[in-house]
Formats: sequence, structure tokens, C-alpha cells
Amino acid sequence: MRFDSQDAKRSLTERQYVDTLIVPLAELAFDDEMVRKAESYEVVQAVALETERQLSGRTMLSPTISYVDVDAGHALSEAVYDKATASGFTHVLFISSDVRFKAFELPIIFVPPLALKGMSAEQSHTMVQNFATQVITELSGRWMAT
Amino acid sequence: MAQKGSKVTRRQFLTYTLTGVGGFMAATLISPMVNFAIDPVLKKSDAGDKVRVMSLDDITTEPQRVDFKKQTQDAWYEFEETLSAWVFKDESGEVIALSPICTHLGCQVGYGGDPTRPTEFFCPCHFGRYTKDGTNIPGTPPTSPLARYEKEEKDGFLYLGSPVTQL
Repeated sequence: MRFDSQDAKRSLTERQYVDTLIVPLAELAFDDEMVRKAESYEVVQAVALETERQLSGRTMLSPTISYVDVDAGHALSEAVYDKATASGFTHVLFISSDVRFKAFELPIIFVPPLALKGMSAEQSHTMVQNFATQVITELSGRWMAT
Repeated sequence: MAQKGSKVTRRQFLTYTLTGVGGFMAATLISPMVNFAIDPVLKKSDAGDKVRVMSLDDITTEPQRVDFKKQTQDAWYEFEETLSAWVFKDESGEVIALSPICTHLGCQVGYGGDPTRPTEFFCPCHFGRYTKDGTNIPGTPPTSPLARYEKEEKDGFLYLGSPVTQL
């Protein structure tokens, strides 16, 4: 489900079924780094959308958390995590291409920051599918375990 | 001085010419207006359009997942929608294209997604199950079978339209 009014209503009525929140992370930059950050954003976004498309019945895709400072981004992620779990989401999963998040104890899946635009449509489709499959496998594992 | 044998008077000639030219001018003005006015009628409907998905030769009795893109219109907003289908031939050789959208809450089912039941469709979200022909298995969350795509076989290729809900 997406973070829009219609799906939000539906996720509240189907609360026992929609128990997983997917949160994409994006680092912002507006200087020379902007292109690289945008590439990371694109791949994270594509993977998050594809995951939601395949698992829309149990997952809610949160709007992307964007940050300019990694510690602030971490703090915000923690806050989102706490808020989501307190509101009834049993599973929260972050998707990021920022390896600095490896230092933090967050449930997070990393996707490499590849330039999707440099690939053919077919290549980028396969690439996104593969990453989405990794995320789905991770989530299925968590669901099976509970 | 009127020419010999001519039956057209100067007055008639002018009337015809002016009517003719006037008619053309009116048509030039009116036809685009009519076009604009009835534009929605002239627009090709996307609903019935089928998309070429795969070669018929590649279809086996083992369901395969194919992804394809389709132009969809939501009110004024036109966009490319990615759709998936599980395509296979049944015992009688008929091609079946199932929509992977679980009828429970809309996750995507996978064929053999549960390794212990390799010939069933399995929904990873709430463990819904369907037999190979898309029938929901009682006792699991889904309450209706998987939708089937409208299909057409033409020139050795499979074309798929919109999914049709099964009852």
C-alpha cells in the first residue's frame, strides 16, 4: 500500500494484515555530489516501489526519509521506527544505499548505488527485480519466523 | 457580352463561386471545432488494447512469469503500468494467463513460492494458496480464484489484455 489517503484508510481497516512498513532512505546533496545522490535515490526508489507492488497486501510504503547529515538521518529513522512499531507495525524495513548506516542497529537492506539510467531498459528492469527479490526474500523470512 | 452557348449568367457564376469559397472557409473554421468538441469520442480506448507478451513457442506446461508494460489512463493522467502474468498451457493445450494479484489483499503470488508445495501458487504475504489453475484453496485467506487475462493468439505470439475476475 502507498502512503495516500485511500490506502491509509484501507491499511487501518486491515490492520491485522498490513503489518510491515517499508522506509526508503535518501541522502540529499546539491553540489557536485548531487548526481551520485540522485542515482542512489533512483535505485532505492525503484526497488522500494517494486517491492510494494509485489507485496502491497501486507506492506505500507512510507514516504522517503531524506537527510543531509547521516546522524540526523539516523535519528529520524529511529524516530520513525519507534513511531511505527508503537502504532502497530510489527515489521519495519529500511532500504538504503548508504553504507554508513551499517554502523547503526536498524533493520535495513542495502542496494548498491548503480546508475540505472546508464543501462538498457531491460538491464535496469532485471536489476531492480533482483534487488526487489532480495528485499522480498528478507521480508518473507521475517514473516515466516513470526 | 455572354459567350455563345453558355447558360451560366454572370450573376449565377458569382453566386456559385461565392458559395463554394464561403463553404470552404466555413469548413476550415468549423471542422477543428467539431474535432475538439467530440474529441473524447475519437480517442482510442486503451481498455481493449492487447499487448504482445511472448512467443507461443516459449509457453510450456510449467507456469512462467512474464512482465509487460501497458499504457494506462487514470482520469487525465496517462502512465505506463507494469503488469505481470503467469503463463502456461493446461492439459488440453490451452494457454492460460493468470494474474499474480492475490485476491485477498493484492500481493503478488509466485508459482512454487512455497518449496513444500511446488505445484501451487503461493502468496508470501498471508500464506494464501491456489492450485495451478488459479483456484483458491479453502482454509487459506483468499476467497476467490486468481483473475485470468483476456488473451489472443496471433502470428505465433501471445497478446494479453486486461485481467478478468473469476467467480
